[in-house]
Amino acid sequence: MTSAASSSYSATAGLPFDDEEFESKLVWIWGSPRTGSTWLLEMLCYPLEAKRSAPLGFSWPKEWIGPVPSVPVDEFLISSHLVPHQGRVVDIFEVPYPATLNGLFQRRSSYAFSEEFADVWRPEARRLTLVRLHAVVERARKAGLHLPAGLPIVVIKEVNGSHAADVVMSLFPRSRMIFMLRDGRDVLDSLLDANSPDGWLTRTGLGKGGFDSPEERLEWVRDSCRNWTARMNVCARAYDAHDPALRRRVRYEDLLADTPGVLGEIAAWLDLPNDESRIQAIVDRHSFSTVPERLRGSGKRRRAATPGRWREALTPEEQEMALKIMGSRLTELGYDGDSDPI
Amino acid sequence: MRPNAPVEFDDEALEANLVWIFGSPRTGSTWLLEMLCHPLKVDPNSDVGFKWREGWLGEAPALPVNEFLISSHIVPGNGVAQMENGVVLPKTLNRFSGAFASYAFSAAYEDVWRPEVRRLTLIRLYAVVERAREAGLKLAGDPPLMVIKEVNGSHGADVVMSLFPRSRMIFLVRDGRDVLDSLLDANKAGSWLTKRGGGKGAYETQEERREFVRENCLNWAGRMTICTRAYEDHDPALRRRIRYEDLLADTDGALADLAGWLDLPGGPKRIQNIAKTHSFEAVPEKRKGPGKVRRRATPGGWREGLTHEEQEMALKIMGSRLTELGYEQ
Repeated sequence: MTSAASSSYSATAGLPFDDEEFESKLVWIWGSPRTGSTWLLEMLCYPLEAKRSAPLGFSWPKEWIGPVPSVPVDEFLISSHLVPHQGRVVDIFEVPYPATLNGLFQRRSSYAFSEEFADVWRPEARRLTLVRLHAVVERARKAGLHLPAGLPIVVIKEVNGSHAADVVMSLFPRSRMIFMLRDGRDVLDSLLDANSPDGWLTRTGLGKGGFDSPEERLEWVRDSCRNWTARMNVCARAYDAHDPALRRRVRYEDLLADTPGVLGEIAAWLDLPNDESRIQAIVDRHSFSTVPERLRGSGKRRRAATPGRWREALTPEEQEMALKIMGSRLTELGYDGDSDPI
Repeated sequence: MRPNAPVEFDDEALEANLVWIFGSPRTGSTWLLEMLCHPLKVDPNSDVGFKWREGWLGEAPALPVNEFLISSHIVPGNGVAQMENGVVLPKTLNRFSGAFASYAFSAAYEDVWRPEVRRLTLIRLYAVVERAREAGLKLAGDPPLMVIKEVNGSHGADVVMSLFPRSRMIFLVRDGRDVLDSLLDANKAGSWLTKRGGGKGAYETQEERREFVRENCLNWAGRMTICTRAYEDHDPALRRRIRYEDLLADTDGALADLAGWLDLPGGPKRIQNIAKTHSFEAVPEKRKGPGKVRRRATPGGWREGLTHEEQEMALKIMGSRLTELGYEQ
């Protein structure tokens, strides 16, 4: 039997860990790409560094023998499997939301992830996710890392799966949620840079590689503004539905302005070591100024770390369009319509 | 850990009773699905996804699962298929991110996610069996045969079939140019797909239509590449390649052969009755024709439906796959 009425079926039977305890150790970072999410991930998981091509997905200093309180999972993207994105935005009562396969088919009972069979697929999707994440912990231990005797904190950077934050967080109510915010116009400016002919995203094969005409650029700006707003709408919904004690909204601008203060506060909330000297050492090590010159600047992943650049980089027409599409979300998230963050 | 431990069915027996239909949309896959699962009819609005005549007390030989789309969750598509080293391949998240260990479905962790994905899929499918029973349907086996129409997840056929090596695979093929012609019809203003919110709703310019044709030729070729790969890797005793054109020309014969292969009741009278009940002629006039889900059931319509330029483009992109699948260029 697979239904709730089943006599012996259990979606968690046979697991070599306590599923509820492990769920409570997960920290999901949502929001939007280009918000400093990798920076935050690495600071929370110091001394580990996110490195997707490494056998475990992260690396650590050679011969490191100190404790490792938390483990990073960069670009896990389980969200894109649980809720496949359809690559566009749809307006629901004039509010933009990401178009998803689930949204399109959920009312058809034969669809694998239908509402009708939610009691069947939800516990199994949760199980799959927990088992996959626990394997990271197991392999980290096998690799010789000194993790806590129980379970470590696992920080999952899932900003590129933010279109599904509501579904995923509803599967993990005991987990912590960080909703990472940044002025959407700076996100847009950063994305424009990443998609330029020499931009880092273009070099990975995913970027636009520039625009053939101002019209094409404006259309792209419009789509990006709608994508940002749609993501924010889903993240806000997930955030509102989550236990207030287990959620934090973190503004990139605040993190940048007072990194030790904000990081110390998050570390304390997550029960991570948070003594002042440790926090300061982490901040110093991960500051923008320590990034070698050749690895930062225009077209690089680490560009400027300067809020408000959109004022110079976006044309007046683009600024107007951004404000028109993002405006109400910007205000709700604490950003002024046309001035510095409030 | 034993991923299949705490379930109340024999996972291997259920897997062996699954029949996956892959290929391409607009190939008669719903027609085939309903013939194999006769007398059940697909019904997206019913609690179980299909319906049967009220008061019917017979035994259902096979359960239909229409547009299951688990493939799109296991292998999310990521845009239009593209040519890579001379082969058209679908763009998928798995292929883009598979080499990154931290990615949920990475190659480095496939020993972890594959058994769990298989488990999720089987549990979800078995729930259909349970609910059908609860709804009062008598089933021919335990577990019964389940036919899963997954043509819209064909870009993931290779991964999905590799998870279910004991299952049967039907690779349903049709001349890609007729598929394209049918898709053009479905996507025009007022057509069935447009009405459902999934269609283009007409083309504003010739360039837009040309782009649509190009993308759909690539997607067809990409799907065929993956389905061919899945088919070739699958146990020959557990696979069948069926041409829509052959199914149409000799429905009784093709259906009888399939019924025999699947151990479905296959007496000539039953087969004839099923073929007749589901024939294009039996569809009421108002529910067939241009712009309808059931359009004309006539192979070769592409010769009139596609412009000369579109035919050329289709041939350029689909050509080698068409030849491999036995279609004249």
